[in-house]
Amino acid sequence: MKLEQSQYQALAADLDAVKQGVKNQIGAKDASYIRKVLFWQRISEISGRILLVLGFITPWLWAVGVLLLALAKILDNMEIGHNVLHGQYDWMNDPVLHSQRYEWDIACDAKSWQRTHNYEHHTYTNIIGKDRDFGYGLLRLSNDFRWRIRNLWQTVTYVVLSTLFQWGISYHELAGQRVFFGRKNKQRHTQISDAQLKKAFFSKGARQLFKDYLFFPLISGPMFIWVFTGNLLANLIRNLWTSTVIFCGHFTEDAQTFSQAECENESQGQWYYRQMLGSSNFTGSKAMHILTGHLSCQIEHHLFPDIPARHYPAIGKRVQKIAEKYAIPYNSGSFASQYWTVLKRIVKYSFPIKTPSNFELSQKSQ
Amino acid sequence: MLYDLLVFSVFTVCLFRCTSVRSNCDAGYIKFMLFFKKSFWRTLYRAFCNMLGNQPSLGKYLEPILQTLYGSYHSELFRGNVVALNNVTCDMLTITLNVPRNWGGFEAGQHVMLTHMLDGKYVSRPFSISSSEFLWSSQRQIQISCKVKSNGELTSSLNSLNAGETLFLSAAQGQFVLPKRSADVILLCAGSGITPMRAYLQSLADLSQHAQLPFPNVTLLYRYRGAEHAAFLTEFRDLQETHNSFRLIESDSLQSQKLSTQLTEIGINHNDYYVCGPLQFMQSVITSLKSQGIAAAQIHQEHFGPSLIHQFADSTLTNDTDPAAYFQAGFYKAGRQHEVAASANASLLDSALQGGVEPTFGCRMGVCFQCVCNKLSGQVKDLRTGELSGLGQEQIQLCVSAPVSDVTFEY
Repeated sequence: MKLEQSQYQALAADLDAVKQGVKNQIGAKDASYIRKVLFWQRISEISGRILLVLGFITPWLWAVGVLLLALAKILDNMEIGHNVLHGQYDWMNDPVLHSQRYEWDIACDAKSWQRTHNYEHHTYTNIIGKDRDFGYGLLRLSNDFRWRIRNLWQTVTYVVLSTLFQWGISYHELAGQRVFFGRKNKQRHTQISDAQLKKAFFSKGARQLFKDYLFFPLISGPMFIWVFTGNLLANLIRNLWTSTVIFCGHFTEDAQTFSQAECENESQGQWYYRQMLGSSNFTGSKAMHILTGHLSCQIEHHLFPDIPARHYPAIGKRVQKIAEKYAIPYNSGSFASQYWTVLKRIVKYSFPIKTPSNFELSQKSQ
Repeated sequence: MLYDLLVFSVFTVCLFRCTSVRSNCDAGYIKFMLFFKKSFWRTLYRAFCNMLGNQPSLGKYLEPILQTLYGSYHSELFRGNVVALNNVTCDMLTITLNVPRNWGGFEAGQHVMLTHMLDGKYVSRPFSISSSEFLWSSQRQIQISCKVKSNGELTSSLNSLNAGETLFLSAAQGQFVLPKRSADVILLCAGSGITPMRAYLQSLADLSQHAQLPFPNVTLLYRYRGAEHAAFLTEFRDLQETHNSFRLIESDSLQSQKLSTQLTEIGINHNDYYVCGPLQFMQSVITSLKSQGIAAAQIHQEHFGPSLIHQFADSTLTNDTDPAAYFQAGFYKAGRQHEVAASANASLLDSALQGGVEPTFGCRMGVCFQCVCNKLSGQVKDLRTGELSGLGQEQIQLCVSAPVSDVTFEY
């Protein structure tokens, strides 16, 4: 199911028109929107940290504090950090919201993340062997990967990865496997040396650990253990939420993968086409969109990663029409149904049976 | 970071030991020590704030809250409240601003970065301060005069400002500082280059009026295109009448007054020359002064202002169709500069890599935002849309930008 060369060109023209239309609208409204989100992030972080200490009055205050701190971390990582680091707000010329300067409340160093996620993952989305984000080197999610014994318990691996997601991301984005255990290759040309990568990994990680598990518990004195646990829980909630959202973006049952050969000398239209097939959306309320950093509109995000995310739901309707026009599958559904297919996919590929995907089945029936 | 802290603490302990041993050391050494301690605490504070809120200062962390509560707030810039707007010529606007005391003052000739929030975006341009130092010290006000261009991103919006609105200011900056009082100088300016000269002359006039100091020997050559474009002309004529030692040479380019003959009229002497104006004017004045045997050390010049860069860009824009057009691209990193010849048809990233500069980059297609650099001057074109950038300082992506004038970057 490939398009004609002329169709790719038309697709690129249609999507470029959508992009230009939105770009012309970007302005004061986007600025005040992101400042509002920043405002609520700051308010919930400060009040959350205070309420954790006030837990001695009643544990309920502590519980609210945990939720508020988790909310602050989710807002910081998803709607603010992720989108700012994509350069969506660079046009504002505001150092607080600039992709080159932003640092977020997560163990992963922002620069390392930008290098791997923005470049590798967004340029080579779902190309096996190029996009290391596909399965994170831990999970077998398609027949392109050889089955190994460890895939038998990959459902457990997935749960563990989810609970420790911020550390998984931090390790993954620095290409930890290569940097720590890989063979030294003197020919490899890298802009950032392994030593610099390691330093970024350890200093950012240490900073996060120091803040959440030493500094804040210590200054709250007798409430040490309460604050310590509160921070742990807030981090856990954030980890589970972000990992769930991200898995729904690329690992749903119908999200497709590509081979390296297919993608050589791609045109802009082919690139758009691949982004649409490799991503999946889920529907939800406005609050849901904000909490996911608008990654609920993963397809739109992958088509236009540098457009302020609050436009994605509106763009989505136009993108869906374009998808219909070219008969490109538009992968969307409710949050629960999409997540269910993710779980199915993880379980399905943990067994060494070459099960054809839905997409391959539909290919055969045609 | 923990490691850094450890190193720092060991380092300071060593230094305190050193001071106790060498108790009677010279003043320079003590100064160095004080500086070190201050910078040490600053580094510590930054590390602390980064640890707490991932922002370099508490002010930056709280900025979103303060902005929501108090409207315009900026943790790094100063707030200037607009007091009045005056049209001094048909295309020049003088803005009078109330500036907070902690802004720190200026010396005549210096400029500020003026920042205005336009449609959610901070736009910054440098402007010379055009008012007397006395206005600042007595009333905490400064004036800024700027040429309004209908296509200028910032200046076109200034016309619609209202009294009471807020602009943001940097501290006063620049090496183009006019001499202290008694020195005799020659000022040569054209167009909006008059603004720093006016600040100087006003300061001198105020000094002679309020402090009864004698007005030094000052000659001002003011070149303009038609009297209706000449700002502050009546002011200078009045000044000439009250002070014998001030000499005004008017040079109207429309009345075929030759600049070169007027320059020789001033005569050669050992005074200092201060030159400010559009590029062409600066070039012809400086070559003519040099040909008269005036040493380069005697000539001081100010290179800034949108008018300067704009003219430059205009002249090159017409060459845009020329496929062989090359521009100079300067890349600065930690004070070191690399000059690269950049083709008008290739991305600046490619030109930089060919020229041996290695900025950070990733996708080469404008997606990953790793190659974003701070453009210091010049204009670039977006290769995807053909859209032209602004002329001042701003962030651009190297991989999708081609130069349309000479450009400089910090990377």
